[in-house]
Amino acid sequence: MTAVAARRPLAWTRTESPQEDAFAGVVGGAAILLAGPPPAEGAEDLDSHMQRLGTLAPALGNLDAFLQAVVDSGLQGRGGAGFPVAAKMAAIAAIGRQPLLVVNGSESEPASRKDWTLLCLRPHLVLDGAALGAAAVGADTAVLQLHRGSVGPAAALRRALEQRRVAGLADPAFQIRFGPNRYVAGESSAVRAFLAGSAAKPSPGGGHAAGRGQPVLVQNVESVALLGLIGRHGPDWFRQLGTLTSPGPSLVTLVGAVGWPGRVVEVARPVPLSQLLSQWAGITRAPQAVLFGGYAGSWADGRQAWDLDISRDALAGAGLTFGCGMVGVLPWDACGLAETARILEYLAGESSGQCGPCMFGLPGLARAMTGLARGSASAGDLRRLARMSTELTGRGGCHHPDGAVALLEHALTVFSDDVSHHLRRGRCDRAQRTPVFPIPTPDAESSWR
Amino acid sequence: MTFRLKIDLERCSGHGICALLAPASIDLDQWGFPVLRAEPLMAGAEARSARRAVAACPASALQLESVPELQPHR
Repeated sequence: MTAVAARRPLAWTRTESPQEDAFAGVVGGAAILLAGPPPAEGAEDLDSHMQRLGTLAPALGNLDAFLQAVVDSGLQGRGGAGFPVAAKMAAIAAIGRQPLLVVNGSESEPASRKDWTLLCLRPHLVLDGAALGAAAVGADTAVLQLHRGSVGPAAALRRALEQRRVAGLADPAFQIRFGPNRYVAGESSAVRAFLAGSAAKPSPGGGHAAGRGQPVLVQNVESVALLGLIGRHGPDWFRQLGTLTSPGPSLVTLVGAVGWPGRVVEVARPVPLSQLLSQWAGITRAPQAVLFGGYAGSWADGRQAWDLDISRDALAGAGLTFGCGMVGVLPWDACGLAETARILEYLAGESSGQCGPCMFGLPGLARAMTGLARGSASAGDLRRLARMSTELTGRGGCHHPDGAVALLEHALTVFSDDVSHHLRRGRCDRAQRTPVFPIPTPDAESSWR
Repeated sequence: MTFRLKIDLERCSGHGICALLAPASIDLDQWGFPVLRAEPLMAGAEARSARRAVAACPASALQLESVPELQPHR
């Protein structure tokens, strides 16, 4: 079993290199995305990559067959929303003007590390997929979009690009761009706005077909890496992995009270949460609760989630979010209300301030939740909280407020006993524990451009 | 003919004039931003007041669209 990639401190600036104390794993089969040399060796070079996987030339030589393979593979985007990749590619191609391909590595979920790990360890896998994807939609340029401070991925990509230039590979023109370190700046419409020279803020309808100007196809790093593998091995191979309706391997990031926060694990075929956590987090009994999908994700009761399969389908079936693949563990000695309040304060600060309900509503929501976590809220405050969340749902140009409301609603359900305790007797002892989930410190340079 | 109001919340700055002019179709949330009635508006008084609200919006954030009508079966 292949193992080992990235253990790293959960700081907001992603400057550390993963090699030293790197760690990653795999469950449910052999590694696909993280196969190859051990992570301690750092980024795989072109020679090793080519020896292991062979040339991309056959796929590049028959792009129609490749596009059909993407359709048949059923690949769903790995950025969070799970949108079918083939449909996005077809929509862009249908515009009929030369598009730009954006490989989106602006991994904005504060605790997610999967794209960062993939870029640091397997840059050629990502660049292969970008070369193939760009050729298939007729793009001659591919932008590698990172957050400012993504030093490790940028260095790995630069070295990889130099190796490809020397080898004379048939690549598009690659450009590395750095966008702002903001939660919503990695959303595809925000990336598109950033590349057009505007503030990296989401816009309504954020769709895939650009209006005026050049059409821009935005695909997540992991999705792009999978394109390169589908081009080589075909859709039938891909469909043997993952699940029927959500095929292929998926990367998840373990965070919170796990042995190594930030460890990335490849799920080749779905396994129960219990197996994932016992094998790669050293957790052998159900935790208090699990936060799935990211900070705008969903809480689940730990004992109910313990036997749940880690797949987009199984989580959706249980009313939970797979999102970016974050699996966050809340231990028994922590307070879910306090953790949720801290995350909501963070999400409120990350509103792009474009829509009034989000700009004023999210801070209101966060304040009320903080009051509840501190034990200073009344039953009336709880009713106000419920009213605010109703009034916020569906009210933004993007889904940022919806995500925050969903997190809150899951918290009030999963931690309902704590809610009544906090209302009647004030803050619980667990609320004073050291925070479990890391909250990024605001970017010193808070520019949106 | 029926109509539907549309709000661009990125433009809206919460003046609240629309809710004064078309109270039957527009409420304000607790932060002063409009919440639009989900059902289409009928031609006549409802549509007239909605049109006044659209014209009065200082941020040009409000729009009135006509909704294509389905032919009723007889």
